[in-house]
Amino acid sequence: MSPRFRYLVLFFFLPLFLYFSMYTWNWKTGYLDRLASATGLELAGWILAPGRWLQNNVDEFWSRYVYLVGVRQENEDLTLRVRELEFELGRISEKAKSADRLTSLLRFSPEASWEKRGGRVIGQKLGPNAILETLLIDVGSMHGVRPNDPVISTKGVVGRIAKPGLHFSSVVLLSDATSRIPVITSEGRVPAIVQGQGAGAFLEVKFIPRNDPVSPGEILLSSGQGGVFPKGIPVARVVEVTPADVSLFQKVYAEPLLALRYYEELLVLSRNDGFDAGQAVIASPVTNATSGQSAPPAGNASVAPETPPATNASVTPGNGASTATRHPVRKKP
Amino acid sequence: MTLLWVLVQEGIGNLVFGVVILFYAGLFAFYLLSRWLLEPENPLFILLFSLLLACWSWVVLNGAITFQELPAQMHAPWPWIAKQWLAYMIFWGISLLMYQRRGRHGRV
Repeated sequence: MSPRFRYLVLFFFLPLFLYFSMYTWNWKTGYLDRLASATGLELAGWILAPGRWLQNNVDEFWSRYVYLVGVRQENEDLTLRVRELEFELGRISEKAKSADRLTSLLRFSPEASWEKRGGRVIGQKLGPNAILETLLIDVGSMHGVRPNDPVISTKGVVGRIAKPGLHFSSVVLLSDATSRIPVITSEGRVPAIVQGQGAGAFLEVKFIPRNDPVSPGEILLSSGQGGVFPKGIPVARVVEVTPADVSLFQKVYAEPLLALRYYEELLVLSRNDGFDAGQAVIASPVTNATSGQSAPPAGNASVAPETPPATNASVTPGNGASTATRHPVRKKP
Repeated sequence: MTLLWVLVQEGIGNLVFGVVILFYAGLFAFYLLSRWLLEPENPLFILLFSLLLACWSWVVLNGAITFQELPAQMHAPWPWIAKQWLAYMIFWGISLLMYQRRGRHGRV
């Protein structure tokens, strides 16, 4: 073997082979992804958290003891109470609407119980590989958080857990292009899929048939299909409806109920009934079945981008079947 | 420290493990190539190395996104590469200046 060929093998082909071996092994097992979450994400969180804690405490000290003592406290208490009541009212009104439908059923499963866990936003889109629209929150697997757990605010859905670390987790937002949430319109009860279009763009509401009623201002609620999000949580508000021309579906756009810059405290929901929502958002395709997740059940979180909303459609970047349709993105004015 | 640094960058990122390793492998290769062509003190070295690095970072990220079948989210290449190029040159220039001012007047 000539020296030049030996160098080529030693310094190019061999490292390339080793790299691809490592990549495909991680693709199948996810061990390195979990190691990176447990170390890198954890370290980044521990660095960011004190700064955010200090900022919050300084803000609180100033607002409570220097600026408008008493009045400020009362205002904060009332604002918090109003948010809690709004959330409760939304939840109860949906329950009331579904009561008549449920009483006509012969048999139905009791509603899954969800455990709520509060978390604080400590960062956004960290690192050079920050491709997705994500937040970093200070709850992780040590607090019972799992991949694909829904994340909500008092206004409505924020996203889902993409990558849980030990004490910190990455949340992919509903505005991200990989996010697809099954919804139902609040008035007409029309099922659809809300798909993110990236930062600064409206959400696209897909698969609303041309003759079904939907109007601007209508609230979109999570439909509960796929088993990832509980039913009845506000997701977005319709902003634009364009009648279909030759398509079977209307062109509908919506906006999130809470802008990104207002995300501070969030709630992470976890199911208590052992249901597994499937593989994580940031994961390799279906071959990554052994990355700590059980095989996706029928109501899983795999995306079926162009199928009607009756099937389970949610988020996953690469289940092998996804080739996201590239259509014009409707930007916010 | 290198391993920890790689784990931190992989951990806080959104892509599958391996992208940062590929980027740094390319960084090393381009450094050797640039050094083979020019002296590190030469400003052209910084220009060439920074440009190669900016292009490589776009290629790596775009390739990883395509490989993972994520919806296309990368910006148009040339404005993004231009910003990266400028940032690399600025940081390299500052680092070189600090290195020389701290008394190490030898070769880089």
